[in-house]
Amino acid sequence: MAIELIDKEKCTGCRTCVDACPMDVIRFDEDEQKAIITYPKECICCYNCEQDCPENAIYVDPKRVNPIPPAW
Amino acid sequence: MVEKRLSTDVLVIGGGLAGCFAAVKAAEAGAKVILSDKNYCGKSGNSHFARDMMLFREEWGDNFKNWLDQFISIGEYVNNRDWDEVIIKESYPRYRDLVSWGIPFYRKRGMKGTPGSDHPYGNAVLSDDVGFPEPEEEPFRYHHQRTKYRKSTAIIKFGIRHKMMVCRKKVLSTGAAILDRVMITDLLTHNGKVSGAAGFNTVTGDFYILEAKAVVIATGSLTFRPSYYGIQFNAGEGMTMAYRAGAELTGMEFGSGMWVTKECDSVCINGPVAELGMTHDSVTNGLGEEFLDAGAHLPTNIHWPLEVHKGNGPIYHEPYGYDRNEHKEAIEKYNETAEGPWITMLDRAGIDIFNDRFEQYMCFLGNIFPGGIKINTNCETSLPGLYAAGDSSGTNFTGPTYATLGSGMCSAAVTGHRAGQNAAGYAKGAEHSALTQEEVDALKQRILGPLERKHGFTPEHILMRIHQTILPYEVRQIMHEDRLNAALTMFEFFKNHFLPKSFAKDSHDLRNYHEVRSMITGGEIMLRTAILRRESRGWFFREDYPHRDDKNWLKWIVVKQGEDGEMQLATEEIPEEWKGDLSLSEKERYLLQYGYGKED
Repeated sequence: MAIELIDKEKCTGCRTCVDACPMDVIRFDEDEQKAIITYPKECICCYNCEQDCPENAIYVDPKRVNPIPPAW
Repeated sequence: MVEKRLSTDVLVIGGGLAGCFAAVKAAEAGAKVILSDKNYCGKSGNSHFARDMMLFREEWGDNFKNWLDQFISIGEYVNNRDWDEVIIKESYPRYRDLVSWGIPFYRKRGMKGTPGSDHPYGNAVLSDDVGFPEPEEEPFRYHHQRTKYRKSTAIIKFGIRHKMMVCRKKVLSTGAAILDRVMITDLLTHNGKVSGAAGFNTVTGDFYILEAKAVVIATGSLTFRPSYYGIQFNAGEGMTMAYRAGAELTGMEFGSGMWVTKECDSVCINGPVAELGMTHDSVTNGLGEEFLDAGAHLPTNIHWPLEVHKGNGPIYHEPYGYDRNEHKEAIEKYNETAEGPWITMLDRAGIDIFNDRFEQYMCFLGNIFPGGIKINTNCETSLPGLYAAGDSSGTNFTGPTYATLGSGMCSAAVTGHRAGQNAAGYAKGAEHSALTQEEVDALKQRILGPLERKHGFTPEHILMRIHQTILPYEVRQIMHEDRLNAALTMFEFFKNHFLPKSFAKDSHDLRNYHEVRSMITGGEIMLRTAILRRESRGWFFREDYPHRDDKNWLKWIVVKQGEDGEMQLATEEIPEEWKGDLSLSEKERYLLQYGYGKED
């Protein structure tokens, strides 16, 4: 659900996805020098990170972790 | 926690298009500028997710009177015509600014997409002809064709996804400083004037006091993290901090909605439908009837929920049936270049947009188009030193309905420009005023207090209760005084009970706390103003008052926080000369609404 994967093998630590996230879901692990999914519950499935990742390391599922009640 | 104290002439809060324009124009006018954004300026704001911008130019055959008439017919006489004129006429110089900053635009209509791709504005996305038009060269501009009343306005398309990164570079090139991931939650005032703002860094937790001679709020609209793509960070903090500091808000009763796919709730399919020219698709109700005119792909905020309200739901998207292999290239190009890879998202949710029938609903988006901090045409709010721009400003330029595609970006650019210039001018004659230690301590307590508590209600829980209260269609789409009052009771409970007993686990969660705090204030404002407007107009629909009331309601509702902390509502009369011919019948006065969805 929502952001599911940042492939550690592929991630080069460029921080593009960290900056791209409008919900502060992705943080940067300074020890490992890799992006990490930190607050997946708040992922809004905007796909900024997946679209921007130059290494194709990210996979986002279009369903959110906390479902939003529909209008009807 | 580190305390950081910075001083500047102009503080711009929000780094979308309006904020970037304000920062650039204030800096170019000689002011020292700081721009803060709770996200990363360059990827933030609704602007990042927008693709269109309204663009008027007489030399290309546009007629100002026709454009204004369109705004009046859509705005149903409660649109502010002064702002309409400014926004329409200044669209061209702001577009030229964007070209000069390095943002390319589509120059020509693209190739054919799918069968039936005769959509009047389809397929621009499939063009490779993207570049920097010369001043006299008309870029690719398209017109709404479906209703004759939206035909006048012309719309251009941004040629790249990363346009906001270009804006960021422009902001930095002027010498302005950018504070990313700094969420501003409260304005500072001194002797009735704005003197700065305070907030915190959502990653490091650092506490920020920003002393400023003038402040521009450009924080976008007030939504409730609803379904629908790319607006979930608009929690209205700018509007509600301005309200708490004493500024007036206007147009807050008007709201908007967008159709979203039930099983893939970020996705609004009008993007792919329009861009790929899927004009043979239709929308049906639970009885299998095409209750809208075929090809009606504009947001139909009232039609859909009313149909469901009558007991004829749910609403389905019925595709014409396309062989997607034949259009692989078009689909791939769309996924790459569009504001979101919506077709990929639908595929991953198990929905084939080209062949599957699937359910959709209309999601309440808060006040994403109308309403906000009341400003005059200099972008001055009712609070000296405070300016507002973009979606957070209340220009009333579009009244109770969405004006046209690209009008939000256009108004962001135009108001941002004016707010930046005027804030810089104001700052020249203003002095800094220092905070006392007592004031700093009180601010810290108000902003960081939830971090000290370790138990109680989580912001996540409060958000869920907000969703359950305000998102059902019968609350803010098909409205009734009883149901509005019921929701208001709950919002008062959230304010009085949940908020004081809630806590934040870390600086990230503190952002959630302040967003929820803002949504509660904003929700209360939206509900109280909606209760007051006893009529229906545009996208504002009251089941208990289903008609327009031109005698009593050619008015704006202005909200302000009183000295005692109570919400004060007042009405402001629309200028007589803007009311139109009141001797005409309702049908004659509201031609658009009576012919809505019909072809010429």
